[in-house]
Amino acid sequence: MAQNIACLIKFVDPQLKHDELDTEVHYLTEDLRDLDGMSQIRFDPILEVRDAAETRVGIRFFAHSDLLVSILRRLRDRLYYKPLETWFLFQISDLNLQIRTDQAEDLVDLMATAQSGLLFSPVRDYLAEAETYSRTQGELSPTELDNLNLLRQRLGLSAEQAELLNVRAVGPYKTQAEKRRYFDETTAAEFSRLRQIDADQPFAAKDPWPVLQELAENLALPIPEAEAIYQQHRQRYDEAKLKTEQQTAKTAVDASLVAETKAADAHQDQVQQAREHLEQYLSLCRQAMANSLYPSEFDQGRLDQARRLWDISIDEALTIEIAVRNELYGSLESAAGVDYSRLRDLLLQQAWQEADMETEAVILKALDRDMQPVTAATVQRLPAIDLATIDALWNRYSNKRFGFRAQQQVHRSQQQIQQDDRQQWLAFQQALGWREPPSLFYQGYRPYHDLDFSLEAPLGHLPTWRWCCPSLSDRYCLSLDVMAAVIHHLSLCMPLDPVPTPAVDPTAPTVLTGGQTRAV
Amino acid sequence: MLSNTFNSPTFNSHLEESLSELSLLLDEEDWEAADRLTADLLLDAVVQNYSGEPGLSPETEPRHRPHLSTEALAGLPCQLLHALDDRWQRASGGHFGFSAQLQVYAATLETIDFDPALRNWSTPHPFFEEVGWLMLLSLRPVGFLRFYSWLDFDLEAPRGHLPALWYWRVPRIASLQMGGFLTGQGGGFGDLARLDAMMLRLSRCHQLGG
Repeated sequence: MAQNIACLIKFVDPQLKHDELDTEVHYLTEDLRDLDGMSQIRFDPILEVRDAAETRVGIRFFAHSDLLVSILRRLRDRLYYKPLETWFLFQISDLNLQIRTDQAEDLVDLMATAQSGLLFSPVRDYLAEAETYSRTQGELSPTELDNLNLLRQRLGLSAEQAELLNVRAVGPYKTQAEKRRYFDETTAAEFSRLRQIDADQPFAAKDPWPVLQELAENLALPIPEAEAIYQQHRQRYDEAKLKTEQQTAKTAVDASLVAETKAADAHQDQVQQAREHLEQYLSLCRQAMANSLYPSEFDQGRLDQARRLWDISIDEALTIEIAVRNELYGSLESAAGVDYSRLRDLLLQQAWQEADMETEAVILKALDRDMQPVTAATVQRLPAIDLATIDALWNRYSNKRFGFRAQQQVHRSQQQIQQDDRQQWLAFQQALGWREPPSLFYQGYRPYHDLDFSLEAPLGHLPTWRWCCPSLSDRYCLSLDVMAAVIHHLSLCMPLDPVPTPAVDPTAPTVLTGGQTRAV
Repeated sequence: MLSNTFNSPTFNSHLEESLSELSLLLDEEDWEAADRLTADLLLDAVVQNYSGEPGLSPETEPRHRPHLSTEALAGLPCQLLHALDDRWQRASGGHFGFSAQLQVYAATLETIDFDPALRNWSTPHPFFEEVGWLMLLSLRPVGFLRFYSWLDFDLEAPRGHLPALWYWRVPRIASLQMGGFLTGQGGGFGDLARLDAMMLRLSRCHQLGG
């Protein structure tokens, strides 16, 4: 049954003259009549006396409630176009709506209300009843439908309208079965979405239950039923997830294994290449240092370039350089942590006296006794490695003339000649050129500075044992027990070959005569 | 052998006191007292060295009480020498002290003409002349050292003039051997072995310091 609304529209703008008013009313009428379904409607003018003449100030008409929205829209558009203060009155059954405005926006709110249909109490009442029924069961039972039909007739609603309202009350899905199916589908979709998220970023997915619960409420689907459906999907999802995780873990392990093998291969290649580079660098170093202990500026530049090109660290390069230097110029091994490089430098330069003084310094350092001179008691503390290093350096740069081994050989040859212990040591010192034969007024000690610091010196003349002396300036004098202790320690540290025969060792007599010649 | 007990705690605390006393004397420019204290401290160190190994001391020093002999000088603790030298150098602006003496000595070594037989009698070691320890007679110095009390105890003295008592303080018998007058306080010809022992010791200690 159609419901009619009484509409009254009146211009109250004080700026409008009466002839203008007439024109406005005319246009308004034309506008409204132009609307779909309004052509048959009769518009009654509202007449008022203005300036002693009767003028139309507005119109009055009855329209079907369905047309309300379009009427309001047309009125709103007019106000947008020309904001004239207007008085609107709509009578909807027992409801009176009055608006007096020149603002189009005020009509917009009214339009929204009209669109919802809630302005009309029959619809409102019917919907309320239908919703109450649907809330309890989620669908409308036949009895409930009968009740609603009764209500519809009483409210004067059409069957079609009632059907629409029923659908709206129950939600988009009319029956319980349909709702369940819809909920089931939604839940399934939700879980498949979760799976997608899991694949992209694990552990990011949230429990969809709160959302689904809301959906169930909106659908008017009983919660226990909805939860059952949800649990079912949940279980399936969890199983699948577990399986996927296992699979992912497995593939991850496989992948890491593959990666490791690859990395190992790459590493091996790198190591191989690095080793090659190091070897190349080593040979370059050898080349650079073949002629000088420290490479020339040019060679150093080449080495530096090579080091960078082959990506060798400074530490590695330094280690190689030191190794090459030791290989080419004599090793500097030390058990006492003493640096023998200065000694090597001096010996390379044939600076014999300075080398001899440096020998004292390194021996006293190796002894580590506050630089106190070596005595018969402390000589045994000198490490064999250090003595061997010093001996090797002296031996190497003096063409086997100097060094501890040479001195030991001289001592052994004297041992074979002299039987008396005292005579033996005297002869030993003379053979080395450290002493002259004593006379009545002259003990025969030579001052240290008077010794022969050259390659013409007797075999074993250097290095001197000045590290045993408390004082040097007026005489280079060694006590017998110190000499015995040093020779003993040397024989332990660097034993000579066990087959010394006078015939094999021709140097001894020569040296002895040399010493004696000197004395005479 | 002389053992080094220089690092024992009792000795150290005693040494700290003595060193601050030395600094005080040096600041007051009481050079003579400072010199005596320096010699005392060196002698203390020697005594300490001997008492460290009591079994050895009677053999090494049969008749005399410990003194700054050649062997004793060669075993002086480097730390003590550095400490004393440091105080002297600072107070005198590098004019006095063992380092100054060592520098003078090293410079003379470059020029000295070594003649072991004659050096002691006719020509004194140039070091003695350089540091002003010689008795100056007529135009030409002879190898005869001043009496200790005749030394110049002020900054007008030649470089390396002080500390000097470590060299003068010898047993009477030793001073007689050197041609002195049994005073034990100088006069007579210097003992080059002791001088060189001290200088050698200083240079060795310098190498330790790096």
